[in-house]
Amino acid sequence: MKRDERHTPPQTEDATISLLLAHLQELREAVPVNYKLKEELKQKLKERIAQMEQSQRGTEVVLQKRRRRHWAWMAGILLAALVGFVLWPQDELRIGRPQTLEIPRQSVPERVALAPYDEHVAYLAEDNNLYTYSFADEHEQLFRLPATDGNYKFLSWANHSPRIAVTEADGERSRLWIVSMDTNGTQANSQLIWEEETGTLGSLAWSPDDRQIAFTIIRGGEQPEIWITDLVTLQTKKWTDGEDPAFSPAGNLLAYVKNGAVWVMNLADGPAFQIGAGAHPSWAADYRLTFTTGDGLLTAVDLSEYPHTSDFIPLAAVPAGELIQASWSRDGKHVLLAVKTEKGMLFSIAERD
Amino acid sequence: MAMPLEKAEGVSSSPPKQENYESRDFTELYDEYFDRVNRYLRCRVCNPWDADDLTTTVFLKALEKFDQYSRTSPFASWIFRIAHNTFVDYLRNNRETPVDDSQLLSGEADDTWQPERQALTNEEIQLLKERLEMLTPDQRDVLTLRYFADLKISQVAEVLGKTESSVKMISHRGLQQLQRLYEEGDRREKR
Repeated sequence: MKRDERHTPPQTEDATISLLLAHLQELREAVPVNYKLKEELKQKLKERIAQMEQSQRGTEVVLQKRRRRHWAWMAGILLAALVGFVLWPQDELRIGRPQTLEIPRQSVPERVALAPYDEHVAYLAEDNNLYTYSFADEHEQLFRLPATDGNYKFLSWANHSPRIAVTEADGERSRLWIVSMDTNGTQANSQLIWEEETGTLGSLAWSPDDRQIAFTIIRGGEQPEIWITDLVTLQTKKWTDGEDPAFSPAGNLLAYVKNGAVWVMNLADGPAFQIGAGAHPSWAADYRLTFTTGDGLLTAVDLSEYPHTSDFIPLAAVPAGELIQASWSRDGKHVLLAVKTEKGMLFSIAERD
Repeated sequence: MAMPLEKAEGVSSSPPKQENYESRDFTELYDEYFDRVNRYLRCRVCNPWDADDLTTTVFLKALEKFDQYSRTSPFASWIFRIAHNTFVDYLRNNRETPVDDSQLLSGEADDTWQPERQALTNEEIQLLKERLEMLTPDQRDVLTLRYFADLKISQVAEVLGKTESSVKMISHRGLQQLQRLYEEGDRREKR
């Protein structure tokens, strides 16, 4: 654009403004320019441009070297992955495609338990009886529980015998029973283990040798407590604050949940250590613990290493909903998955790959 | 960053031929804009040495950021935005520096200066500078960019981040105020 166009005053401006503009233009042209600086700075800028071009070329060389190194690394990683795939460690937790169980939906996951043998699950039904369901042949069998005024809430199947531990809520009272079953579906006998006058009995677990039962007591508004009863001596005592107890397969560790985090306690000498935020711990093997996180993921922790390593277990084709619990069978070959859906808790069984 | 010093001859990969596309390399743009930037800063800064230092800073910054220049907008807006920001930074860092009137807008005894443009005395330029200082900061910014940096209204608006109508209004009022100051000065001289 020509200078005249830039500085043409609006027609509304009077003659004095036009004179002022002319004066400003004269002054502008009178302001001296440092031409010496102009030449010196131009040389300086040219040198700087040359440096930048050289640096750019150098950077390209470095980038080429980096790219080569990057590809070498990628090839190495690929090779390592291939070797790793071939020599995949057998204790790596991988779960196969789950099979949805044709059992009634439940309100809480603790109303269904894996039987430790013969590919069965047991569940508490609305009619206050216990049913077993074979996920191998989809056969269902009724086991009559002792008649009671209350309702059965949670259950856990013993490891080496046809016995179940079951909690009963009867008004303000709660009771812990052990029921011995016979194979034809009739009740053999039942034994009262603990009665809580004003509290609620929650999740429970058998020790691997079936000698002890850990259970949760919740007394209004207080921190849940884990108690352990010895079935031989019938001594029962509080072990720690928390809930959701799970004995490790070797029986020396107890996993539980306290304040939204999973903890593991050494039962021999007592120290406990926090594993991570989550709930519903279950042992897949000695020193291999899994638990679910708040966002419905399944996490596995290897306790044989320190610091503990953890990773998420991918789950394929799990029914739509939020994964609440993953319970491993005692032999670690099956896992019972409880998924919370709008219509209640849905259960499926998966094999360990 | 591609930074050709001179235009390569016979190179087929010429820049796209768009209207208003700035295809010149940095040194060509430097040759054209140095005078305007230097003049603008000499009008705004107390002494010529600082103005020259700032001019150097402006072009070094521009070179470092040249790959960020879009080439579809006027180079004048881009370089004067850098110049204006550099000047504002300078003001922030030199608030307590007293104005040395004797040095104001004066030039060095330099052979490169154009003697034919020295017909107006430094006294007149000094007078203008003083009157500019009596305007509002916005009026000062707009008038110096418009009439000393030789920018169009749209370019001034872009440099200052204002609308064109706002720049026009500020310019108009600034000129009126400057005119009044000149008239008052003339009346005082006559008395």
